[in-house]
Amino acid sequence: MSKKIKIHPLFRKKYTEKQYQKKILKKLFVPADRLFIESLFIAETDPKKGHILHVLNTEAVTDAALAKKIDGIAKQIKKQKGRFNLVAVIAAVLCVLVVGLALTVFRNQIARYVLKSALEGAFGARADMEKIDFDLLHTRFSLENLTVANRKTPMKNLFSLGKTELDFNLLELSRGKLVAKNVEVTGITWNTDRTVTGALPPKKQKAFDKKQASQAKNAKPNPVSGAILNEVNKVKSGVSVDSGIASVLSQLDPLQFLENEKASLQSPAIIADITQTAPALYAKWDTKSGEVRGDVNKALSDGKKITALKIDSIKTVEEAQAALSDIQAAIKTTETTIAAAQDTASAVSADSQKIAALAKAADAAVKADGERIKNLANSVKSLNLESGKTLVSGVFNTFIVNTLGAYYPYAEKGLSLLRGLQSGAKKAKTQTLESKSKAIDRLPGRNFTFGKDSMPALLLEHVALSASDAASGLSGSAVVKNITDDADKLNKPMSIILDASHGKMAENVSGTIDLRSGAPVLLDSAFTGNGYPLSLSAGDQTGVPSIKGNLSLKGTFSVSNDETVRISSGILVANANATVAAFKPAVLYSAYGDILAGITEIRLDVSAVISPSDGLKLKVATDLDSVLSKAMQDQIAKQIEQFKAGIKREGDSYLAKEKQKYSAEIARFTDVASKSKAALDDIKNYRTSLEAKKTEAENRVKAIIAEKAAPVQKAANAAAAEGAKTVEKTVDKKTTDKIKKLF
Amino acid sequence: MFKYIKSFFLALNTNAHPGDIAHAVSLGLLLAFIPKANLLWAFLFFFILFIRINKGSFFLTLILTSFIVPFADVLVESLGYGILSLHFMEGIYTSLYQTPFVGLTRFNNTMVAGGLAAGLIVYIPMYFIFLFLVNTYRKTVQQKIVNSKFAKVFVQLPLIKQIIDAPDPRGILK
Repeated sequence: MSKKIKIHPLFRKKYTEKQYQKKILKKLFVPADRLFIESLFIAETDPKKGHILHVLNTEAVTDAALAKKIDGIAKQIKKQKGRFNLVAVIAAVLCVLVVGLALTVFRNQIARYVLKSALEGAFGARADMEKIDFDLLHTRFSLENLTVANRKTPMKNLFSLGKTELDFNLLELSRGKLVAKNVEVTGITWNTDRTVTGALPPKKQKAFDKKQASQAKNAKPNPVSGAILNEVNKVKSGVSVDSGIASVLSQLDPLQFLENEKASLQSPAIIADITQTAPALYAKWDTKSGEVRGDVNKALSDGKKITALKIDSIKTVEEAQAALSDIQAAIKTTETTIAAAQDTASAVSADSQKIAALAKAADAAVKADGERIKNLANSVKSLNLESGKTLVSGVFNTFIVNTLGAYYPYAEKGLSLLRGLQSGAKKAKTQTLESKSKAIDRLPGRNFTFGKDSMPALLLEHVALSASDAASGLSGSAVVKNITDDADKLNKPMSIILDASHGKMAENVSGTIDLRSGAPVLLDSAFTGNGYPLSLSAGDQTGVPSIKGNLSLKGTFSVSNDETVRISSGILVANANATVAAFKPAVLYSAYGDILAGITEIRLDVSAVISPSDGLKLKVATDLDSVLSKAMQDQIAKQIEQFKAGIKREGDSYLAKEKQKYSAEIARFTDVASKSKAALDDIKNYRTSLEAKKTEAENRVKAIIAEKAAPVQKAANAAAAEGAKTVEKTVDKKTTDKIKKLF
Repeated sequence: MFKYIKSFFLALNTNAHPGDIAHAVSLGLLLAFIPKANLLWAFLFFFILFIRINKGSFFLTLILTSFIVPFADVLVESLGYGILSLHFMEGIYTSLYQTPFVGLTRFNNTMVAGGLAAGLIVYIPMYFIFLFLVNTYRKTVQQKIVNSKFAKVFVQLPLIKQIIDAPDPRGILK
């Protein structure tokens, strides 16, 4: 039994001619399908009404494939509905309403989330707020008790705002712009304690750190800040020596004076030559001379027996011949020692001449130097006080450089922030290959403005801020006008008036920040400040005063478009107390101290120009410097004669010490030379005495022969002659043996 | 992308109203002319989603013509400038411009105004052209393709099989 074929309900119905056309045929847009369906429909007559009805011939649908095709066509017809999907439109409208309602109901929660995220992203610490109201109907945004924690000390608040109210322009807001006529922020405090930690959760903290690292990587150093930092590094270790009195005092020191002149003296070089040469020669000849002296002493010692011989007491020819033989041997021995002593004495004598020449030259140089020092001392008329003319201003110079180093980076940060805010300053994004492949650039087009001119994307026309902190006693207010991200569009500069007081101190700043393209001056401001307790320490610098008092200032601060910063200010230190540590000479210190003691106020004129190309040029001037300089000049004039005498005295002392130094070296060498000569003389004298002994012995031999053998004189003469020959041979043999031993 | 292609071919070869495809192509072109990132584009986009047209054809046209339309930007911009410069319309423009949130449509931008105008201008010709093309295809080409051996081989190609096997978008897109 075959399975019953199921036909789609659309085709199970019977249609009148009109219905058939409208519901079936007109909905078949594929001609093949239309022919196919037409072929399946058959016409039959309505038995009741008699008109023709169209019905699908089910008998023609013989297989499942055909039924499936018919079913597909039926579904395609069923899907054809009106152009608008009313249900979906209603659903969409409902969705929009729900979203709108949700936005209205939850607007404050949304605003809280957005603000909290923005603040935490900017400051890297928790941000909390008690009440937030984003009132679209009254175009007002208000916020109460906003606190932002300090990232570095999470249990402290970086700042908190008591109440913030902002009246915004709904029309501009709908254009994606924040334009507010009035912004009022009251109850600004900072560094207050928190009850819960302000640290971000690790995930948020990590994201913030990553952002910070990226910003730090891209940050370009500001050349002006760099110039100030260089100057700060120079004065970091304290007050510059150049600004102190140390250089003046060094001029008053005869020893220092002499030290400066040493390079031009003749004697030091010659003395240095002597003190190098003489010890070397001394070391060279001292040993050699000692050896010669030893040989001489040995020879003298060995010859004592011979010199002690009593020739007259010799009775026999044999004894006389033996004595003569001993004497001749001693003479031969002495010859070697004499030769060595002679060589040494000759060489030492040659070096002695060299040392003597050096000593003579040194004497002449010392004499000339003595004359030169006297002449120099006599030529001193006055002292150069140039480097001592900036004692007080030097102290303030250091103070101002350090102050600029501490505070200018904040000003620079603020200006950078405002510059970065400008829509024109936005950097063109570098396109990646991915973004290039995705982006199909369209022309930006031109924007028409109809009616009232369009505002910048950010404009806060009037911002009033007030702060008071009971803990620090600081209270202040500020009015900032025309904060904008597009100064060119607004065509107005931003203006600031700031008043602050804390304790006895008070500051006022008023100025304009012109971020318009081509504006020659970026920041032009005037400032006053007073009541600052001042305590400047001179550190270890001689003659530099330590200053205490109350500082007040009034001046101008400007930054031109080429980044050049100009500061001009008058500074007054009232109730001034200037002291200086004691220094020598006492008279100068006394005069200096007297002037400082009389000071009750110090007035300074400060001008600074910091440009990226030339760095920091700071001028600090005060009348007090010239008063101090004149007083010291007077005192120095009185010290001149003493100073001259001091130079002569120290000069003589110095030369005497130098002379003593080389004289000792020369004396040492002369002693060695004398010893060498004495050894030679001693051995020569010894030889002479031996020669005399020899002659005496020979005469004695002759005398004995004459006395003992007159009869056999002839035989004796012959014997004597023979004896003499024997002695001679013996001597010759012995001499030969000694020579052999030498070689 | 494949599901849009499949949707288009399904509509083309079944008994979908030719107007579904013709409207979809015209609307895709209209939206392609208008620069994005404004409320007008978003509004039109969501409006179109509620119209019964062939979404496959719509998205395909929007995507493909987005590559071509920038070449006509100079003309579009000039057209927009001309429209926004019409003196007799200035009152209407001013009213619109001074109405909150209307500014988000950026109708005052020459590219947006020109794009909208260009899209509307080409809408009707494009509609009739595609109506004619769909009908012609169904009458003359479709059966030949269906019965050809080439079509039988063609549908077996890997890419074509992937398109055919893509999720049936009709329930979602149509």
